[in-house]
Amino acid sequence: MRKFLFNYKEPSSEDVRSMRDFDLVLKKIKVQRDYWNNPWFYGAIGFASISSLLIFI
Amino acid sequence: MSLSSLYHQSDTRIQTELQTIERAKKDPKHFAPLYNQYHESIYRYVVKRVNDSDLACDITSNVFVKAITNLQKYEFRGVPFSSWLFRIAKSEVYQSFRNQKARRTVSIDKVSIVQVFEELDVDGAEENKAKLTKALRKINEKELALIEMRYFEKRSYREIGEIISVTENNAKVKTFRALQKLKVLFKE
Repeated sequence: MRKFLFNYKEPSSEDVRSMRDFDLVLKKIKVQRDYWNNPWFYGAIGFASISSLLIFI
Repeated sequence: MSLSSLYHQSDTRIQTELQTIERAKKDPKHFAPLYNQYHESIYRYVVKRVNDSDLACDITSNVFVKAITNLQKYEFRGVPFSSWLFRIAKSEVYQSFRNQKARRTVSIDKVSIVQVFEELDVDGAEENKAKLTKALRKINEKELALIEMRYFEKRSYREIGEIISVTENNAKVKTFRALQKLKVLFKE
């Protein structure tokens, strides 16, 4: 269900500027990269693949 | 109707932006000037649709995370970088609706509503607001997005086309049809 806001007041530029946090963006990117580069991740995937292959055989 | 001027850039500015993008492809830290330049417009786009400041902040931040992680795929084909960011923002906003984190909100300011009523050839009486709400509820999401971008956010047809990945002319035709449908539903 759509909600309609009439007489909407835009937030001020100062308010929006105060929400800027480029460091947070960089942190999120680092967390993402660390997750995909984590050897445990590929280790677990590899183990699961080999196990399922062995069960299948 | 006065259009938003933020979108239209000079060739020099586009070239400077492209150089920043190339630098940011090598090191995300160089993306900072683009983040500072577009944060506000992306945040405003998001908050109008989700009506939740904290969530809008989070979505905006995710838009830039996605932009940086996919920056290698970005190629300049005459479409400004801002349109590419708005496309990501659009997709993130709809994802938040699918995840039921936010409710689809249409935010209309005082000036825009007057212009919409002018298009519909009626005055701004409360009764007409109720009729407009009813009509806006009946049009589909694509039509609503077009009306929203053109009449509530004052975007040019060129920018709308680039955000929804169609030509400027096609954006114009689609918006015209959406408005015609809105007019019919308004009169029902």
